[in-house]
Amino acid sequence: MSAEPILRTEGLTKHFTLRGRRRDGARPVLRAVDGVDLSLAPGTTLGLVGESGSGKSTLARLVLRLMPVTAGRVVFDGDDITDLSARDLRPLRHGMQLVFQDPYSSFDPQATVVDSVVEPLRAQGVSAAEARTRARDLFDLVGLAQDHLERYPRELSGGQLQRAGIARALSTNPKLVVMDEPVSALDVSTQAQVINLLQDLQGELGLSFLFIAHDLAVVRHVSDRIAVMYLGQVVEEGPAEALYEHPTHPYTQALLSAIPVPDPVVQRSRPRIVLRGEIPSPASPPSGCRFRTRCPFVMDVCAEEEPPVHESPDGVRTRCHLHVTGPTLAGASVNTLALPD
Amino acid sequence: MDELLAHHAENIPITPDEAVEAAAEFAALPRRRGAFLRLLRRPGPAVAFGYLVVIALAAIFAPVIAPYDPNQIDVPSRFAPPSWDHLLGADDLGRDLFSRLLYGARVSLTVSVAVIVIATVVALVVGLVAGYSGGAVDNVIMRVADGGLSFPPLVLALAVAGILGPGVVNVIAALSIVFVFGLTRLVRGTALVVREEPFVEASRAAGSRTRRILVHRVFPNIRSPLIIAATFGIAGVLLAEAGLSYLGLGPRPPAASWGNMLRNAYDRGLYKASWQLFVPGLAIAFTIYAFNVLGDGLRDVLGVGRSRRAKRRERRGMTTVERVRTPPAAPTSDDALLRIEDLSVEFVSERGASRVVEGVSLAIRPGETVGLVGESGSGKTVTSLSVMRLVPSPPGRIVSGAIRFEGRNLLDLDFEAMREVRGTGISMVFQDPMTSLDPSFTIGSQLAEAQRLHRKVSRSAARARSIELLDLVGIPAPETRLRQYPHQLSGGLRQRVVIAMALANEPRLLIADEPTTALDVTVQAQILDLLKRLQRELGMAILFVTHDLGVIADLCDRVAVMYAGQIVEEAAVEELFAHPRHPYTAGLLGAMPQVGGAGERLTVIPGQVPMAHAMPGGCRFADRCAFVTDACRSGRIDLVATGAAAVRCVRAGELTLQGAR
Repeated sequence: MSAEPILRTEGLTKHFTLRGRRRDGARPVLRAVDGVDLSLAPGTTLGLVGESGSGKSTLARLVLRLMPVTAGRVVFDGDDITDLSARDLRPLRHGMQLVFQDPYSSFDPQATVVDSVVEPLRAQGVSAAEARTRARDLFDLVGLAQDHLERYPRELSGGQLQRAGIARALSTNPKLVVMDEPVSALDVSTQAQVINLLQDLQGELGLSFLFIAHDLAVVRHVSDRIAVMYLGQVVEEGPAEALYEHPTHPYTQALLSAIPVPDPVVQRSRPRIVLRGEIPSPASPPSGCRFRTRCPFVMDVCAEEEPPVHESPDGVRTRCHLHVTGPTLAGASVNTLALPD
Repeated sequence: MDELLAHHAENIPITPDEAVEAAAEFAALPRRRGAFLRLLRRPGPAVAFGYLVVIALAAIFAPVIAPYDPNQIDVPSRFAPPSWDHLLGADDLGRDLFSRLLYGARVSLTVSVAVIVIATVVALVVGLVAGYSGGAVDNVIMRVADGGLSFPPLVLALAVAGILGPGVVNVIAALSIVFVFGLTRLVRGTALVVREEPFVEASRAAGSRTRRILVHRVFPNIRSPLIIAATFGIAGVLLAEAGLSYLGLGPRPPAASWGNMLRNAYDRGLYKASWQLFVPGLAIAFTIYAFNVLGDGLRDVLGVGRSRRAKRRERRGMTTVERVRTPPAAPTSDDALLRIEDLSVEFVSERGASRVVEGVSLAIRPGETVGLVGESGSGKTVTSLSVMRLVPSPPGRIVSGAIRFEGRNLLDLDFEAMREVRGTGISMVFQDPMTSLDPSFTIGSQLAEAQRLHRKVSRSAARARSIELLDLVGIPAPETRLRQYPHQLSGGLRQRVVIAMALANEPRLLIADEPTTALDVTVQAQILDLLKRLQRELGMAILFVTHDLGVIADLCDRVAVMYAGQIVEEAAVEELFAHPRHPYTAGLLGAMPQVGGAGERLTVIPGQVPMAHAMPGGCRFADRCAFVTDACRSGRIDLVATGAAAVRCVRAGELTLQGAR
């Protein structure tokens, strides 16, 4: 990674103050995102996976500065945008766009599709006629017929409307597109169409993607690097292949094990790690390592100290005690450990 | 969780000036007329609208139409009954009631419309400022509105009108104040919902200014509910105005209004000519009724909420069966627990009937797990709901087939017999556990209820069985959980409770419709393991409905693939994944991204699923199929069985398709 990253976060943190009072009189704080360091090289895709409550959607909105940052920094294309006001952000918005999970709710039901697609252009002061011409080109680019422009969102299928959502995001020639679960609401066959489209567009236009999803198979398919989030923190980050072949964090290992493989022979023969319980509330995360309440390899030290970030020579960063104490994996895959009973 | 976060979106305060300017800009936008024309195509609203137009015209042209001066006293005609001279008779002073009614309409309608216009405009601005600004501003505005709403409207109107004194202008002022509170709440509530919508966030991400977001995103979405509320509101104002006039706070006599005509008829004519009460009375009643019918129609046309009529029509508890062809004869001996034969289901809408399930046949043997896989719109959910006769009628109806469960045809059962089958013979688990749970009862009482619905169980026996059930589905500390409410449980635990409820009466068949789709993958793995264990231990059959081939591979013995309302392939699970025989099945397998196969291009099934009301003849997959020939496009293509497998493809014999990689 020689080039300057298109997006960089340092210790990015977002805390929400909740209603009500705790017993000690303080307002409860929800630590949605807690000290996230990420870096996205130009023209590449960083996949971000995590379960609900991991803070991945909040992170997406933070890097686009759709909400104020509690602590840390967001650097977009060399500019520190952490503290910019909505007004000062406006001229930068053309460079960063967002694609939503549910195409239907992300399009105004009362407006025609083209009206929503040209909105980022119009916000940049482009004339209505010019924006419309551009919209026609964009529809060609994403493989939609021109007559879809004047339709209303409900008249399009989910896949078609998601293509329109991608056209909207690409309208201003952005450098960075944040995709928040762009294919989770789509059917399998449509999902494949959209994934292929995204890969083609990245190749043609040199786009950088922050690709958020809960489906690891999809993320693996599109990403160069992957970050795994758990309770507001990135627990493992590294090259996609390394992370899948040699997971170094027990949570990554469990996530991979939990995706059912669409092949009964493989699926029924492979060893499975079924985690106990569910993700705890980010309003009261466990002490020490946040994953310890569900970790099959939990040790005494995990409850006492936050695990340090271990960085291996091949660029995998892991936040787990196993690499420095206990069996001392020192960057080796957690797959090499026998599962305790 | 995500919902929780959504409500923490930033507040962007707007000033009343901005709200007013935005409202004006919005009002100047061109808009569609479609909704209004659709409204007039409905008989009820069309008649109501026609009536109101007549009343309005009569009021406007009252000086031309009215045969007499409304205040002209003519003692000899005192209490004259209706005649050609006096169409509706005359009152105690011999004044012509028809003329007075026309002039009265001027007052009543002017007041009603003026009040609603004033109240709506004020509500729009104030409600928007409150909803969009949030925080203290919102709090103050809403507490004032709550205060206003806590008085009965007429009492409040009386108080205000009492202070201001009688007269038309004062009545308008008083009623505007009364009606502004409710409308403000509506605008504010809708604005709060709209500003959290992803499409508003999309506008913010696009870099649009607040003003543009208000004009182009927020207002259009507030408009429909506001128009509807205003229409119903006019009816309310009309009644309140009549009430105030009746009490002498309306226009000063002798000027006529419907309210003071009513008062006059009551005071002077109750014993001598009580029919006089009906003249203004019916005018008021019909006009109010017309506005209500119009409001109901608007609600249907604009698609906001549902009218009472629509609510009454739906959910009569059991899908109706109206066969268009005779059901297949019962097999003499049957090893199947459930046998669906030739099931077709239609949905009837204004555009006609569309057949969403066409000729589906599927058998499940005792203890077997059968997967029903398909994309949205494939008919898999309607098929599974039909087994329980849970497709709402109307709009749904079963038009052909038989569903035999343990030899009995479920389509012949009456409601009581069907109720008995539900729960004891067949149970169902849905995607969203809250479909099956009542938020206001404890887990314990709902589990006990599930048992008591079908047999007499003592309280302590039900409790013991509930603990046993929770233990069975792997919920730790069941005694504590019994006392908890659904909202105190996580999504995974809720789904376990729902499964426990489904198992309460030891069904022989469990229908699970996407039971893990809403859950995280680590929790999904837990639930799948649970279902596998339960099946081993209890030996029940499972019909597992899903879009996820991975889940099918994990869980099922046999699988049926649905496409566009038909089963296109059925086979043992290993066989289907290794050697798919229908191009659609192969396409689905190729389209799934897999952990092992990164970087490869996914195989794409081009195009879209055809719409239910425009199904192509021949093979329904033909337009998207890479192997299509002329033979695919015509005639009926049947599901052809060979041994335990079946496929609906004319080229099945000659094609060799790629299976799971």
